[in-house]
Amino acid sequence: MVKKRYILEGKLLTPLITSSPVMKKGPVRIKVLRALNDMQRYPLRSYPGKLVKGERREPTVLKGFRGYVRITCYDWNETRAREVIKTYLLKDYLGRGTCEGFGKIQWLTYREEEGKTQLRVKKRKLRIRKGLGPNYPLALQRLLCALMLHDFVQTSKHISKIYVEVTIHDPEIRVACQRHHEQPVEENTLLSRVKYYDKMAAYISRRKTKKVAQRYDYKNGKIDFEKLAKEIEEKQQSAYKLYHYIYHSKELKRIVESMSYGRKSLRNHLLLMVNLAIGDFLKGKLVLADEKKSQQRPSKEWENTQRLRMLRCIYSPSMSNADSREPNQLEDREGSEHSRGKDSKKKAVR
Amino acid sequence: MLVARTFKRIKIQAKTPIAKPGNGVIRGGNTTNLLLAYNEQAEGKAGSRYMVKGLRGMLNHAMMALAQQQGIEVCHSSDKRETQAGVRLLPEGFHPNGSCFPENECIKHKIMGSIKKQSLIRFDSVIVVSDNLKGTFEDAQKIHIGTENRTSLMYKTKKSIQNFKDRYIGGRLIFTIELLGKLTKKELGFLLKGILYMPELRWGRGGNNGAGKLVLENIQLQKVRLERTIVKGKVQEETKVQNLWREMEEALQSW
Repeated sequence: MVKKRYILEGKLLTPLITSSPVMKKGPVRIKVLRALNDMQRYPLRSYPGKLVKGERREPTVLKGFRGYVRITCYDWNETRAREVIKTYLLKDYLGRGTCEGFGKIQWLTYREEEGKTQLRVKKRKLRIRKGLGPNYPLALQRLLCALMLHDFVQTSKHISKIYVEVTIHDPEIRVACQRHHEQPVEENTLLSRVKYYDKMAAYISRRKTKKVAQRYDYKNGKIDFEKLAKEIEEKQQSAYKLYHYIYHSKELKRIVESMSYGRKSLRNHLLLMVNLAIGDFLKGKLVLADEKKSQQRPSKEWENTQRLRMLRCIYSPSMSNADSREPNQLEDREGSEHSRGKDSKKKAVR
Repeated sequence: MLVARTFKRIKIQAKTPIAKPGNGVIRGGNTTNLLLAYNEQAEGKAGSRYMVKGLRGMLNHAMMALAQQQGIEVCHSSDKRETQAGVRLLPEGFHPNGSCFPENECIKHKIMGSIKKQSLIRFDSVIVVSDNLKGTFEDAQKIHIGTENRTSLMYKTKKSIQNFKDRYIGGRLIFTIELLGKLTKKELGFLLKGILYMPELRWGRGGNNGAGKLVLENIQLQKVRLERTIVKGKVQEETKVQNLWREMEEALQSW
């Protein structure tokens, strides 16, 4: 099936008052043109105003456009598209201020064109992992640790986002976290990567602004920040433990990442950064120069072993939940299973 | 493809010796020009079409004056009661624009609307072109367009400060008011009386210097059927007009 394009064109007799020359409403696209053949140049502007002495500011001055109008409807369904065109053909005016005579149109031509076939390319959506994959190189693990710890220390721009500063033992990671808002930075260092992924994650997540006055919701109970900092400090040596802790933390979910973007939590920001870095590493975009070549990029052998491991995970039920659980939790579960088994035996005896 | 709709309109023919319904002073320039609607390059600078403004506002003020004369409280053109200093802006016999809606809606608000409600009438755009051009135009009316050179003087010494120019129009023109909804007889009567009151006021600027006088020549209430068809890719338009004299007389008598 090929989509058809239904085009209605007209001339503007009076200036059309809108904020921008391109408008969209469902399948319909309205565009103001300088000439019917000229698609590239910006249409001519006009600024009608009212007779107020000494005042020609915003409420008295209106922004309008002169030229031609093209209405295109791009649809599979022919009858539906023609009905849409009919509604516009009946109209004499478009835009704002029509009661005063602005936006008058003289319809000129109508035609139907066959559109191009568009192949939809399916893009893989970025998903936040439940747990980290097995056997990541050490350089990547250090980078992930730095990414997860970067907001828990004082920088030139802000204090620790959990109010209590976490003492980082590794000197290089500590410097990278403390200076990630400063300029200039050397390229291909840990600091530059932390800075890049911080900006990248903020760019992806920060779409709509919402200014908030509080870092977290006090009504649902206070957060013990000292305990939180202590627990993060204990897990800083292992990227796996730290990721698991942040993923399951309910406190970090309540804390806001930025005061001007109140919709996004600190947990999501940290996890997004980590997942972006892992995604880049698996694609081969991220090259870690400070490690050996064997550890830089996943080799074919490493990939084969990972595939085999995955297959084993699928076919053997005992290995399926091994990665994303903490050892303490597994022990508890085993204990509970034992106790259940005992109970069931007891029941059977009765 | 065929589309059609029927509506009512009031067609008015008027005459003005000189009127300046301009776009206001443009910053940086010394001419008060008319609002440019469009121009075609083939006809050059003289073929530029201008849009005539200010008729809707004039009718609004005419309705206000008529209601004040008859002792009826209606909406004022402004929605402000007083300034920040506490000086009262609203004259007696009026309430702020849109404050009567939805309870106790006045007759002017029913017709003209406000920011809270859509208006029931629409002024068709009046596009004029200079009468120096030859030929006839379907989309514009021919009228005399000229410029007046003026000088501004100092208060006591009468020394000239600077020259400036005023664009003005003069002649006969037709403007139409489209009725977007159903109007009752009283509402239509008030609207027609408002139009008849318009010559008492001045149109545009320079009213104290003799400009902006409007003389009504002919008023018609019409029923119009508009049809648009597409023939070989081109849009064609056809209108059928019917005069409604009796309905107009009844409306005038009801108010």
